[in-house]
Amino acid sequence: MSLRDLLKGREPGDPLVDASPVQEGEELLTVEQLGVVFQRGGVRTEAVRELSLRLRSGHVLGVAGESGSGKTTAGLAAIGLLPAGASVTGSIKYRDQELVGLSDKQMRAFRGSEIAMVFQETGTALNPVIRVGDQLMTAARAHRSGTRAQLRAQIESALDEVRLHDHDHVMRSYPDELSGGMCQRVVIAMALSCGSKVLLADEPTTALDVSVQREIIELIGELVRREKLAAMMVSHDLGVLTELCDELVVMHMGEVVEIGPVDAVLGEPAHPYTKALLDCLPRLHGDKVVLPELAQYGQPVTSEGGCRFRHRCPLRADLCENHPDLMTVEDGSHDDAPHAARCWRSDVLLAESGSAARLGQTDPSSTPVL
Amino acid sequence: MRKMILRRVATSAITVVGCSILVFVLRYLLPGGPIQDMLGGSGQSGGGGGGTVPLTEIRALENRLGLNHPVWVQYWDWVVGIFHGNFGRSYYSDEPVRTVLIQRLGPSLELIVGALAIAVVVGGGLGIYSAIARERKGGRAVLALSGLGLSIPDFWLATIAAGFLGLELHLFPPIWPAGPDPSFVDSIHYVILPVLLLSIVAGAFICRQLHSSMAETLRSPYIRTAWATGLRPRTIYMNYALRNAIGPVVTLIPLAFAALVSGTVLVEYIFDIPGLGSEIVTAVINLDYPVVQATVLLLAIVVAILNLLADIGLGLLDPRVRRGV
Repeated sequence: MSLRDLLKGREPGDPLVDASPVQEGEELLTVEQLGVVFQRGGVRTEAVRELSLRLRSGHVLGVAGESGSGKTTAGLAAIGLLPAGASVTGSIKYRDQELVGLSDKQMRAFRGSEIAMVFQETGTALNPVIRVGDQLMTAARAHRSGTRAQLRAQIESALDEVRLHDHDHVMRSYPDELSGGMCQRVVIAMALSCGSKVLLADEPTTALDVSVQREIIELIGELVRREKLAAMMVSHDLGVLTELCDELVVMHMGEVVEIGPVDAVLGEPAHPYTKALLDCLPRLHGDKVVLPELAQYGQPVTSEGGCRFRHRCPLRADLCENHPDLMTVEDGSHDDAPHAARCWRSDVLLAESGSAARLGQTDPSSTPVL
Repeated sequence: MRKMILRRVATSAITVVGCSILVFVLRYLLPGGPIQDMLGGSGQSGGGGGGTVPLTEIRALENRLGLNHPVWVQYWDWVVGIFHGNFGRSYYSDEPVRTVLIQRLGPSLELIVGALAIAVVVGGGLGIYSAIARERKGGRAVLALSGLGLSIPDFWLATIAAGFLGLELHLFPPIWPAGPDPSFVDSIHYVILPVLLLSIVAGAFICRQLHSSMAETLRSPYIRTAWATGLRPRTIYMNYALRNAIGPVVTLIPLAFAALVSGTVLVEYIFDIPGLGSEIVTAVINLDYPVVQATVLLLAIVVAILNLLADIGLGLLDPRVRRGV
């Protein structure tokens, strides 16, 4: 019996929430032209600009970029948890219900029960003074009706989903008695037991050991397919993203600079920033690991025009003083997930990588260590 | 948990014993002595041979008070007496110290317990509110007020309040009634104003402490997880956040108690309340050692017990403390 079946018969908590069963491939979260601006003490920071994303059931969207590129802000905007002083423009829709502009109380019907977010912190993501079982129960109670025994059965089946089979031990423990990986599983189980259909994972593996990272990545991939979740995976680890994602978004200073199927974006990067991120991966040259550096942020770019990457860009030209839109790249990828880049000079870049591919550069020592 | 409690009981006992030794030995470090006072002499130190009072009389009194024995014997007799409920007799009034203390304990307890209760409930409540509303005007105003409460000198405020509210407006009795002590119910009338005054500083202190630990807790990742899980604000504030934030404040309550005890000295003086605070001042002025020693020891025991209770409370609140992590 799958978790989804067990969770059927849930009562529609809020009329805003569309409780109909999710179809495979259904578009669950649609972000259109999202803008987030922080206004604090007279300083205006544009954290996210013209962001458009679609999260579909059964698919994982990867989001890559450095710290400060707006990845986390975008996730927090989707569950309405931006700090005070942030203003949001554009649209975030969950199954046709507009979320931007909802009151905090209305948003609560979506948080946790429809859209769940998993954060980077593993050791401190759960309340240190409350037993894990009680935290799971509190979360389940907030979104579901039913007797204690029914809720417990749902929680236990969610724990099984994340492969924490020793229910009693896990539920009796305090978070600091569990490992970081187990805590992250508990957080995911909490999302499942509350019935979340969208999973926003904000660098969920950054704080974990490499071997545990792999387990969590595999778990998320498996849950997305089995439970038909729509997931967004934020990471600066391109290896993780390649493995898990169908589609990839590269963000730079609050903007999407490149979007498309993972293979296309990473195989034939059409934006110099994506190329630079790839070049930053350690490469093996004989026994030597070479770590090229990406130029640091220049002066913070305000609302002045022009490409936001041009101060760091090796391909900078006069044209780049005009702000580019996302432009489709002709590389033969599918129409439903077009490959697009925010760069005037992607043709130059593609020509380079294309010629490299044609030259048959198969030297194994220069493949990125992913 | 049991191990932790046992360990804390042991350290508390050591603290109390240390206090008792200190308090007993202190009299030998002070100049002068009770003998001269009792005999009406103005002599110098007891060892100096005693001015106008014949030496034989001094010796006789020393014998009666047991001061002729070595210090450690005197200490031992004192401790044994305490275990029998006998704190000795006041040098000044010759009443048993126990009788004196019991008479004086009532009004002081009313003051301290009342002020502590108000400080914890009102101060704590305002601390929670100001942390939750820290981005709003109300929260900032409460925080500013608590800063004011901490910085107003209490002797000034007490004098002004007694004069203005008591003598001018007749809202509160400015002074303890003469004659026999009022019953508990009647006495409440007289302690309201002193209790309110005492609670201001302690309340402001607790408010600020709870504000900062609550504000810090509200910024922590697990609170963000709780919001992201869609829990109700009340659950998040009162259950998830407060349970974490209240720990540091619990351990401060014994401190607040100790501060209130010294506060009563002043307040009892201004409002003429016959409590422990005024008694200890009188006893010190009269060099009435048995009363001073008994009072200080009593307070030390109470503070030690409160500390112990605070630690147990902290253990109940936080599993990591319980396990000794």
